[in-house]
Amino acid sequence: VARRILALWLPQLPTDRLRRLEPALRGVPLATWGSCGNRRLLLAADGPALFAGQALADAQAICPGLVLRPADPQAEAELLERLALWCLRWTPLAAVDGTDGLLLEITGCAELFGGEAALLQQACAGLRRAGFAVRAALAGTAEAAAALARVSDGLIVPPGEDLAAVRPLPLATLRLPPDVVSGLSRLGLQTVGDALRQPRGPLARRFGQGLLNALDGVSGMRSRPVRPVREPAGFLVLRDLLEPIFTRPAIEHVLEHLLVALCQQLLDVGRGARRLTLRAWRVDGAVQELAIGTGAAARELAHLRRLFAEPLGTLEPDLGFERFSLEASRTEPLEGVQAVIRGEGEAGAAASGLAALIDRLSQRLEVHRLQPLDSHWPEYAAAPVAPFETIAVPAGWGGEPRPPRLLAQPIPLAVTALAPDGPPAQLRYGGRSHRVLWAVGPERLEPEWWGADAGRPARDYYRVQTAEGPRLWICRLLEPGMDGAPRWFLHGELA
Amino acid sequence: VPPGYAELGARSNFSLLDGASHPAELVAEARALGHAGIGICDTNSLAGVVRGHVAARELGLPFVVGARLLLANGAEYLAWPTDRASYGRLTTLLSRGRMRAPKGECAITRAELTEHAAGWCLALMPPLRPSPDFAGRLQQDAAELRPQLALPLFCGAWCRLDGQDQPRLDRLAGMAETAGAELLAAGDVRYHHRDRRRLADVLTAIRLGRTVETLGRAAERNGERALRSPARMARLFARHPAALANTLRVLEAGSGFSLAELRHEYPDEILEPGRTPQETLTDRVWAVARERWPGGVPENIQRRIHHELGLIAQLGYAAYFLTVHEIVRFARHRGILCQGRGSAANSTCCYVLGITAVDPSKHDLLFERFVSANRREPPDIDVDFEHERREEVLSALASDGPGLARRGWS
Repeated sequence: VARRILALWLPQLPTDRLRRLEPALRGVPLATWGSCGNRRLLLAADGPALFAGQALADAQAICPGLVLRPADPQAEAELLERLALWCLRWTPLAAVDGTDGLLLEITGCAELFGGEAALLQQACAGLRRAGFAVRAALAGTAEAAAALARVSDGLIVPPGEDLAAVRPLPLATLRLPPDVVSGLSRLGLQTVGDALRQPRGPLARRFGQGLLNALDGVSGMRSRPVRPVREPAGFLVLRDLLEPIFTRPAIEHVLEHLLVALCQQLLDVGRGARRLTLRAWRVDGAVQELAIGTGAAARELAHLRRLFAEPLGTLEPDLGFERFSLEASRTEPLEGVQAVIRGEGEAGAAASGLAALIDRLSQRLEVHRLQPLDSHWPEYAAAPVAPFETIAVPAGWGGEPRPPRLLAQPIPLAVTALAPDGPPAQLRYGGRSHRVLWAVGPERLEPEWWGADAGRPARDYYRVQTAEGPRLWICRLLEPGMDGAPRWFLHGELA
Repeated sequence: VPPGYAELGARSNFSLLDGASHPAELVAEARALGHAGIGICDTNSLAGVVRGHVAARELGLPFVVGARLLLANGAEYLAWPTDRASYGRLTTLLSRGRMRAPKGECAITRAELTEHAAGWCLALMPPLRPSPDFAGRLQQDAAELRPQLALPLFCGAWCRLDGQDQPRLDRLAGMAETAGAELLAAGDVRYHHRDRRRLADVLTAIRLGRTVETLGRAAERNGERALRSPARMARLFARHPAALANTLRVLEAGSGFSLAELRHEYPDEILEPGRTPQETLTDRVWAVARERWPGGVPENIQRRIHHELGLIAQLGYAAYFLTVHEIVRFARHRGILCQGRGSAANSTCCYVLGITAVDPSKHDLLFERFVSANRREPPDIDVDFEHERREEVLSALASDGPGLARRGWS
């Protein structure tokens, strides 16, 4: 059976993507740009007299109403991959082709959709409905179809006539490097047919193997395998029950079965779960859902079982559940680790033990670690992050004496101090009067003027040793209160 | 009565990407705050002192010239010359350091500093955390430089309100006492008013090549590197009153030199041995005039020449005329076309010497439009050179100086 390949070309993919995200951009000229060295160039454009590779300044001069967005090649690639997945409705073999094309191997599939022409129409119509400009061609090889899609729309080459169809194509449709195309043009070779007529040896010496590969592909001499997209594997296990169950031991028993099956699935592909969802279908049709998260990818049965122990109590069986499903909705790669017989594996075991402990604690309370941040302003000098984030400490961080813990809500103090900017001599804290033995400071901190709290008053911080024992970190606002008296606050206790 | 204090080491915006205020702004703010005087010390540069001097003269505020010397080994000094000769040594040191280093940088070693320091007031500035290294350097400098300096070596001290000021001051005072140096109060000033903290942060961001949001602790923690009032300085240095008093000593010593003393200094080579510039010029003008009018210099020309030479003698510009004449003679000798123009054409002397080509007697022009006792600077003599060979004249000037006659061609 001759292979049949449908090529779809999405010439405006970057701008179409932006218009889908921002409907307000419909009908205005739009372009994406990127930097090439120190030049800024258009990477994709749709508008009169605009083209990819144009200097940004030129484009803005030609088209003053032009809306510009930075290009996002990663998002564009992801979108193309999603479109390839969408195309799996017509064929099990759909592939991404370069940065702006799709290839569908539809050998033997066309009859299911009313023939090749009908399939081609459906695919194009679907993409256009979704807002993508698309051009399509159908041929016997991927390269020929892709090249034809770039010069015509809706062309279907009958089996065996590929060569005749591609001969008149300009060489530029083969997606060769521009210098190769211009080099061939200087030799008087404009079309694929011209190049095919040349002896192969000199062509290869002059323009490299890449040109020959492209020519072989488009003429059907050598067929390149299509690398089809695969749907991301879903980790879902289901269990239907003959009799509804409502007792805790029975539910745990079912969960155990589901966990065993799911953990095996994860193990098979070398992944671990970060988020698990248990759904329970009640006899009356209601569905209840429990979700647990883990700090690090995990697939250890005992650990996951333990994480479910607490939330299982919140299920309301009523008349009983007749169906359960367990899904790993977020997974991460998790390679197996060779267990050592004794001794040296302790460190690894300790790390996974800590992860397990933190997961269990996270079911009941918020667990995070602190990331030091580069800022003078005390509230911004650290921020909570997830427990297993890697921490980077800015150079020189932690040089200043600071309390181990800042009070979330600073406590107003009554302080006796020499006016106008003398150190504190006495203060009232916790219902008692404290005599200040010594006070070091002031450390004057002013808010980051470019930030959200630029308008807040500056503070003079003092480290204070009281006669009664506590060592305090207190500050005076440089903006007096309503009554004109200085305002003092306790911001933390020093170690 | 507020105690006397003068900020002596303020950075102006001529400390590139560091100082955030114009010299004139610093002077005006110091005057408004009641400082006894002001000194501008830019990093390895004297570029800011001229504007500071002019502004201070207008406001009647004592002004001292100084520079912040950043050595190759990381040590930082403030230096204030106390007379014309020590100022010359400071400029020599800076020129040498600048010429040796790539553009924009300056390479000065401690040995060179020692060599040029005679007659200066000098303060060694402390790092953020004074270390034993710093104490050692202070001790060494105090001992080695004492014989040359105008005042004993000072140990600079500033308060940044970073929470460590008082411990740091106490520590510096102890180090200074051990070393035999004295404490000198300073403000570590980057800008004249605290509102300029934003601009200072922007400059820091440009210097580091980062955006302001990502500056983090490289940004200023507060606006305390502005000029402070003497009363506030007295509160900060309450336990070290001598540090404030020392600023007045430096101010007084530094006032021994003023930029107003600087004059154009013409090269000796243009003179004929044993004669004053005026005599040389007079002889030369008359000699050329007799050549030009072999039948006798016309009476009106004679009258004009007498008048002009009299005014030149009165204002002391003879050396200037001789220097320009020297350059023109050099160019003529090399066959480079040149021509004086502009107001110099009003001068008969210039015409006689061949600097200009317009015969002023024919046009009856007024010499006072060119040179006048009311103007306090030498006149401009514009000379155009053939544009393709102008570089020749410039490079000859740069390599030989104006003593072209002796070396180049006569």
